[in-house]
Amino acid sequence: MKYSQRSQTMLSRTAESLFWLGRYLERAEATARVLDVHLHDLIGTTSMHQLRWANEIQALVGMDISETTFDELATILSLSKNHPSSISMCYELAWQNAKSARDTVSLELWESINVTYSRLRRTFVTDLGHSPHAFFAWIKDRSAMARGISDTTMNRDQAWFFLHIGRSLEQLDGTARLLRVKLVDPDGEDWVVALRCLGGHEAYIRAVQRPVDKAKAIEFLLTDTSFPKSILFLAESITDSLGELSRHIVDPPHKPTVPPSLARLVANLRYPRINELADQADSYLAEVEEALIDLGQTLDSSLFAPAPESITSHTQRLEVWI
Amino acid sequence: MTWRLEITHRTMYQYNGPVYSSYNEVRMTPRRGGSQNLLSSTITVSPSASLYGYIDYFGTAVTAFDLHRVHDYLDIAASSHVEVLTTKGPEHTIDWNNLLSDDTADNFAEFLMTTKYTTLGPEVASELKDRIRSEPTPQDGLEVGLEWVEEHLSYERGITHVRSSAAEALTIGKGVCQDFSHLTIACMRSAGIPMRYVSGYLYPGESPAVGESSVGESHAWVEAWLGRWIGLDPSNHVSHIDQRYVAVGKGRDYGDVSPFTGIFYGGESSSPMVTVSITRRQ
Amino acid sequence: MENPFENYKSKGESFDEMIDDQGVHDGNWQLLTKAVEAMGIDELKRRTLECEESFKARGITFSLGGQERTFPLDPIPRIVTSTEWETVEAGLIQRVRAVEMFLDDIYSQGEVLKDKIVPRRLVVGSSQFARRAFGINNFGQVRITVAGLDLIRDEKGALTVLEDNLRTPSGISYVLENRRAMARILPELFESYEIEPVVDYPSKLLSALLAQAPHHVANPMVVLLTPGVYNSAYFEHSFLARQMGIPLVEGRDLFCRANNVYVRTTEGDLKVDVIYRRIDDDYLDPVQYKGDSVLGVPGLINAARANNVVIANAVGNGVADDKLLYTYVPELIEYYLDQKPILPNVETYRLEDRDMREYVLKNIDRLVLKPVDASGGKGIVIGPTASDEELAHVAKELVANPRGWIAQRVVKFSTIPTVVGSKLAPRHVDLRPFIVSSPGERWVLPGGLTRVALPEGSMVVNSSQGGGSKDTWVLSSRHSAKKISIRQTPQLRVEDTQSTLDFAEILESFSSEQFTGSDE
Repeated sequence: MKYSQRSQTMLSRTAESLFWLGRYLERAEATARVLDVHLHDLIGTTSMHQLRWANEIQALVGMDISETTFDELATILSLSKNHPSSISMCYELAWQNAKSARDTVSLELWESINVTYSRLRRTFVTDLGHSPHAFFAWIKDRSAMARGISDTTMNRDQAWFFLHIGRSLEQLDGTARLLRVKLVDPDGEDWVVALRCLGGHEAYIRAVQRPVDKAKAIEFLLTDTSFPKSILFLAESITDSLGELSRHIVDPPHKPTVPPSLARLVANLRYPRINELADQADSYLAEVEEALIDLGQTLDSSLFAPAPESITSHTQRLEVWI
Repeated sequence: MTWRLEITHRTMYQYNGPVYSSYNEVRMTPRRGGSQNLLSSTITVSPSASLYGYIDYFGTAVTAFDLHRVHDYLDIAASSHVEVLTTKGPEHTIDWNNLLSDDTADNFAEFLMTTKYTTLGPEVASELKDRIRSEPTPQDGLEVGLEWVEEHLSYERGITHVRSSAAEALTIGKGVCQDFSHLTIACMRSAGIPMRYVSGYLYPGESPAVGESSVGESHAWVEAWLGRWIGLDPSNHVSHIDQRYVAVGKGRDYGDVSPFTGIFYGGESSSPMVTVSITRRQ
Repeated sequence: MENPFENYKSKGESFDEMIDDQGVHDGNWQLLTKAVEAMGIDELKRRTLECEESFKARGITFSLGGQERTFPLDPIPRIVTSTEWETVEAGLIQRVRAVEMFLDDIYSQGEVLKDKIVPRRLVVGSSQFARRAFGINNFGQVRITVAGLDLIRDEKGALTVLEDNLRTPSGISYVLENRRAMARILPELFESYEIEPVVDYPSKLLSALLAQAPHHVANPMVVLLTPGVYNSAYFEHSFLARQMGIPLVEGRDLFCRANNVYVRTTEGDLKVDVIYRRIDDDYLDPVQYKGDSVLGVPGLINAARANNVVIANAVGNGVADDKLLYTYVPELIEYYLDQKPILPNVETYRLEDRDMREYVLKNIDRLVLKPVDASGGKGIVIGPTASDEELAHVAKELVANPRGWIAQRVVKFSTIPTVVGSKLAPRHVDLRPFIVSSPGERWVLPGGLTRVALPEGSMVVNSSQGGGSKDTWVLSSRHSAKKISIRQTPQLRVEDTQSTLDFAEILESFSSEQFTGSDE
């Protein structure tokens, strides 16, 4: 406001595109991590094990469970043009959203996404066969690069916060889904794998300084505010971003508000009433789910404001003249 | 003789399902000037909307409005008081040379063009051209053309629809006033007679009693340029329109004068209920 | 080192902008040729390739059949002297001014029609004549905010008007990007040539748009309306919006209420005052035009009629893009301005005239036949190269619909040295200058988009049909020849760039080895 006569105008559609850009970039990275972790642990395992992990991966990315091999699954999740969690698809959608918001994302961010996308388009199954690990590492690098570029080249105005909320919301969803899958898992020993799926094994060791066990891992993933993918960290980060947005959005009726369910989640995780958080994990996850739904609604209804014109149009039927 | 007519034209749409918004244009206000004096006119819309008026390219008064509250019906009432004078009898002195001169052809280029409503097959058009032009005067040619239309089209409702063209009506051999008008226009234009389409109202009876209200009709007829514009009604075989005719829109064809156009977002509409009532006040 | 200009000579009857039989005729080219000689063609190509890569990475592309393509940039610029440009500038302004007066006239009193300067049927018979927008009060305002004319240099070297584009002319983004690229390809020359800058374009356009806002608006909201990401010129739309700092909107971002236009933002609905639209008339407002258009904004035309929003360029300008109307522009200049046209037209035959038609039919194999309402080179038949069937077909077409066609003399476009293999060879070019108008001021971008037909002998410069582009250098009147020295780019040494290299390696190992599928 200091420099220009007009405050920065943010189209509702652009805000929505930035939000989804954040989500898809994050989802691509999450898929790459899950595949990479399981690929690494496959070496020297039994086929029973492999099948179980294939099922677990399906659950983690929200696929219907079916019998498949890890290789098949890895191919689909890397390069499929239909599956919504495949890396290729995520980048396609990220690219489309970036393009639609091209007057708002920084040139460097756009360029980085454009390059990743066009290289992915020239990537085929045979290429993947050579070195899937290198492919996943490349995706992680490209995602880290996109994140770094957006953080260093974009003003902390509405655009960045929408992007950031999209990213955080996707991560929150990812951590919650991981917990959900692992909780129902009868065999609770591979929490190390779970932590590594989020790139959090090292973080756990640093923060907890104890061997990994189920109860501590759950507590860590729910409440550790030093770990950037814990539920509490992300819920607070989203809360803060909404606060920042409402600082940028001057007009009172359009200021976004923090949904009560999100505020409750933060409070309950910050000040848990019982010591054994792990026993209550299910109810926390239910709260996360509620908060995610409410968040989506807040954004949809007050900020993204879908155009009524997206409803089918008709021409008024003409009168017949006699 | 001068009549004073009061016209009420009501159009009701019922939508099945909620409509979220709509943008509309109404062409239902009688013209000013010529043989018509417009004494008053109002258009009311329900659900209520703010109305915006302008005069379009062809001189027709347009009322535009948009709705943004959810609604499931639309009711448009157009009412007006018009004084209609009887025009004087024919005084056409124009000859073929004048009518077909480059000058006339250029001045009336717009009303000599074929449009999608008024295109005939090349054989029919060329045959008509020869027949009409072989008459001694354009006035005679006009009558020959009208006879041809009468031979080839009989009045019947419900066969053609609002988007039917002259060529389609000719193939079917049946139609309503709109089809008669389009076919007449197509026929005369092929011979080089400038023609325009007129929308408006027709008082049904011959000589109504003052104060008596009748079920009127929204109607369409045509005008031919023979040194000046002459109104004629091909569907009723009237070669000179009189004080029973109240003109609203004029244009190249129906597309220019459509009484109600618009688009809406949401549920679908059924066909509108339309009533026209005309009362002679004087 | 081999001299890339060795054996360079002009071809056939075309005018070459650098040399004639006596050698280099324009002294201004000498510095350039020396520089290119000193640099060597390989270095020049290497630098060009680098820019091409950067174009690709940044998505400076147009879409064609679902593919994103770059518009190839040829590194040899076109040089235009300040003296010649002054004349061109005056000619362009004169032409746009007359055409704008014509458009104002036909959309109000129609004096030009009453005075029989232009046949009425030509105007009312045009598919672009906007009856629905009649009465929008642009009077005293600007109708043609942006004009992009197509000029060619004929066999004698005279710049001649080939086409007027007064609707939504495109190409300006390539002009600006090409200039930036050229500063990287031939930085040495920018020190020796004083070149008129093109960088002002976005601010000139923004000022022109702001100046048209309804008078009572203190702080006007200007938006750029695009058909969306699938449009072939979407890059240009986003580029301009960015450069002007205005929102890039699609039809669904806008809506009308009671004759005001609003844009949906995170802060609610904000009123829009000026729309720089890059959507065709037919799609602008589904209430008035195509009822099924989802690109436009219902109610927009009436909002403009109520003077609550300004649409730039104005609705209905297409009448003057009609190639038959083009033949009347010299007469319009005399009629409205009482001046002789500065820039001539190409000799054109009107086919509604019986004698001219006879002449054209007799000489059809020596003429170019063009449909009056097509753009982008569509439907054009070039007599000398067309097959007998094509000629017979077009002859039938133009007899059946003489209003729909014009015939023109085949003009051999001028040539400019262009990189072909490891040599420079003459290739045909045209020029699209851009004229920005605001109330009281017309500004011509110095230069414009030079398009070049890359295949030998071809005169089709359209980007969709194998055309490329060149930077156009209008020399400043202050320009005087200076010395020039070329720096060879030092080859990157590995130990210098350790950190960069690691990073590049990671990327390259994927792009070039393991992950390279078929090349596009």
